Amino acid sequence: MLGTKLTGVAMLEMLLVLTLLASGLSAMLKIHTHNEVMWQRFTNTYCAHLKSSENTAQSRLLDKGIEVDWNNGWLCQCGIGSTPGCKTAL
Amino acid sequence: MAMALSSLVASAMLHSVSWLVATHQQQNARITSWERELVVRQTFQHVFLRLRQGLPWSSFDCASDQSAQADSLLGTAPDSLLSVTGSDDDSAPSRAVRGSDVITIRHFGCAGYVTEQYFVGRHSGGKGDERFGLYFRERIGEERWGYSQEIMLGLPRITVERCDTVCQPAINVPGFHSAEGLRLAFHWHEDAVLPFPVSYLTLVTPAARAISLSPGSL
Repeated sequence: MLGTKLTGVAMLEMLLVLTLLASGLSAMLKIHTHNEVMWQRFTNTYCAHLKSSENTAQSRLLDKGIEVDWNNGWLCQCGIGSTPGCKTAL
Repeated sequence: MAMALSSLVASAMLHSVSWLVATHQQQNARITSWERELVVRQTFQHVFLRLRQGLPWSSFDCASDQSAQADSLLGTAPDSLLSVTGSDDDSAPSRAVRGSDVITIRHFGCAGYVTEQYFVGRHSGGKGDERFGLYFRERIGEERWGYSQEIMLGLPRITVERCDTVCQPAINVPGFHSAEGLRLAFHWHEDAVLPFPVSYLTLVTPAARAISLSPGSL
């Protein structure tokens, strides 16, 4: 009788520990996903802003008859969407 | 059994706390990097506007938080987080820079003079594969030049100064009225979490000539 009771308590403890671990892991996963999603969203917005302002500035230079031959590749890995000067659309 | 479970729980809690701290620091570093990028971009836009109007760079007040932020970004070399610098190509043709005007970018912190960087602009008379633009000189008097992505169009001379304590606010910055545009490269010293190691900024003057304004009007 005592042995069964002890086994039951041990099982309950194990269940409690497993629940704690599972909820902890789930919370960590949620935090990680939230961080990544927010960061991705922020990066995409900022990269779009950078691309737009660079494109505007360069077209204004072209309007002045100034040739623009410099490196545009620095924004290739920035955000989503195509970037002028990149070999492949991202 | 109970001891084993307790140690398992304690270890898991310890690891989660350290994971949380690391995640927080990573996210913090990401946001800080973007904020710095933005501040530098806005700062140079402001500088460009002021210089176009014949005003010195005196946009920071030493007593303000903004000044401390600018100091941490632009001041106290070599610990500053940012420099306006050339690429690692040291084989730039010296012919392109001979006889060109030296462009000095000086940083004045609130405590006074901090650092100085020298650039030389190539004029339109260059030949061959010499590209129009600015060449970064590592030290004054040194014959090593690095081509940099910065381009300054039609600009014979520029002195960018933070004039908090040193410069006279009414002194005009000569030569900038002929500038058509400016392209600057910011090289980040610290490990970048940004998707690019070097940031570029292209600034173009408006079609209409800027009107000279009095220093107090900005």
